[in-house]
Amino acid sequence: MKQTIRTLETGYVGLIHLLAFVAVFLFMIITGWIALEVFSRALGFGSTLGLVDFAEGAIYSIALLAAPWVQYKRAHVRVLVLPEALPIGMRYVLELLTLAVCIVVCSVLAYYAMGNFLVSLERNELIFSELVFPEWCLQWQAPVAFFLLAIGFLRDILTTSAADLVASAITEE
Amino acid sequence: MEWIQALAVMLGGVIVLIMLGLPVVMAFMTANLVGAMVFFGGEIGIIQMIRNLRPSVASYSMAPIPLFVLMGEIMLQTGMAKRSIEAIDKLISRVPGRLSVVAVLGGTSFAALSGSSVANAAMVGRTLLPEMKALGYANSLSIGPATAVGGIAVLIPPSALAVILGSLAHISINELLLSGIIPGVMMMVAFLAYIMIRCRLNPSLAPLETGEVTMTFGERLGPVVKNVLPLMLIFVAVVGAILGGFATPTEAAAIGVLASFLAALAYRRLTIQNFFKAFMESLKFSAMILFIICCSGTFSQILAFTGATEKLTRAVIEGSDLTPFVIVVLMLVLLIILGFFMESASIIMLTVPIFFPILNAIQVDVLWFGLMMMVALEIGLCTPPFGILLFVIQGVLNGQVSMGTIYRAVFPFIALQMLVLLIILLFPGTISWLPALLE
Repeated sequence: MKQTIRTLETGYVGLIHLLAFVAVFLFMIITGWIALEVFSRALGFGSTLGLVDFAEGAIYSIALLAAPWVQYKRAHVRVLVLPEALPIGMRYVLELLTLAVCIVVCSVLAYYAMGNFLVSLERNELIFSELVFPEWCLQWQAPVAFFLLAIGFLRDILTTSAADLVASAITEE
Repeated sequence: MEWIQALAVMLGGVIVLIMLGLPVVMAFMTANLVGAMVFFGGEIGIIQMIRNLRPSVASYSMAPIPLFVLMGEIMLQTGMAKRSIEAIDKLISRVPGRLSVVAVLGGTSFAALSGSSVANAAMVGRTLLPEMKALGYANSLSIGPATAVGGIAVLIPPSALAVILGSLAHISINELLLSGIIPGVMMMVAFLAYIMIRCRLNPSLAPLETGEVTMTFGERLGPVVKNVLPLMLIFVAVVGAILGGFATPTEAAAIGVLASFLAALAYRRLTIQNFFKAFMESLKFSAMILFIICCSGTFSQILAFTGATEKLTRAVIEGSDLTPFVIVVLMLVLLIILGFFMESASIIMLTVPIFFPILNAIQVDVLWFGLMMMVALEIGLCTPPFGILLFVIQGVLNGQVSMGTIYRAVFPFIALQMLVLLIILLFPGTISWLPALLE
């Protein structure tokens, strides 16, 4: 059992890091491409085709694909003024409740985002812009991100203990 | 009265959930989900919410957000920012409160190269606070300026927050970025004047360095010429490209990133390791902000669909005797109060769909208000209990100084920021001349 959990954990961590690397790769491409575009235009070579479409899709993908990694790094901004003012026991209960809310919300969104993606895949409609591409290319990120976020929050619920909060409170002081 | 319910669920819900400790993005997602189910017709509403994620953020005008953050990270990770602050440190001599002055000038220079206020405060704090502490500087002249100067990055381009505000509030990002220079410089001058006056009145607040190495003017100027002026060319390139109409803010941001990498290469500070570290750190912050922006579409749609935006606008304009000036003042007060508890992007998300329809209806200059909003957001970065820069500085000091001490140290600088806000509020001409000049 422990071995299975460890394998799942490794798989999860590996997957969110892989998605973060995809996000950073997209980030590098748009950075380089936009800079090249300016020089290309300045030198009279004209604009490159599809930059705006690609950059817009990439920004959306960066936001969603990196979200589970940001959550894993605990870098999603939180306001902890009220929780930190509570006694440890109550703070622990509140922490579990907020994590539970996050799991429910992400699971619901993952479910509907998956449905939306499947409909899009079935219809196979094309987006006609500077680039022509199937709509589902921009629909798969949401179910993946919300599913992995739900797993991440579930993982936090299973690994957070009141002792951790005591330790973090001591560190903060 | 569906619109009041919508307002309560959306605005009240987000604030309560944030206060309970939910990650900000999840607070918006939860309120949107409930709002979509209640006001958008259940399942259809949720699907609409999913489909709104992309249009909210997938815009070419959003690209400067990660790029401006990346500019600052390159400066930070390659050590170029630290070297430029050290160069300014060598240049400034025989000035009352010398290191505090260096903190303000160094922080402002770094603000011109970075879109991140957190990176700015961390850089200045890490570089100068240990020396200030060793010399016995009073907290109000060490911790205070190191914290407050971080916020100048919000105002002086490249500013990621100006891009977010401009995109969501439909204000010209060009004008917002360029006009931000004025309050940024006003803030710098106010900080410098305060430091020098206080040190002149009470020199013991900032003791002079003993055993100072005597250097010629050339020796003092050399490091600035070598390490600061070339970097300032990056700022000139970014602002000049926008000002001259050669590039959009997105393209100017990419030029800035490229120039920053080239500078790091020229200084032989670029390694594979810090190249990737700069990208990963930028990704962490940018993805967090962009994910929050993903929620903006549904949030404002629910408010508009239920009539909350329109009815609230009417209630404010027709149902009250408030003049436009008083409405603007009340909005600024609300922004400052929200800044006590929330971070900047969330405040923009929460208030833009409510404030800007009202401002447009009462024909207030949105650029003027946008700039004041940025100053108010800058103040929010330093105000307790959740001013993020306060935590950054506490982290830099390894928790050795209590939060109460940091609050007291930064208070005079908050007062100065308020003064700048008041000047812009009472004399809109202080900021309107630059956009007029551009036209």
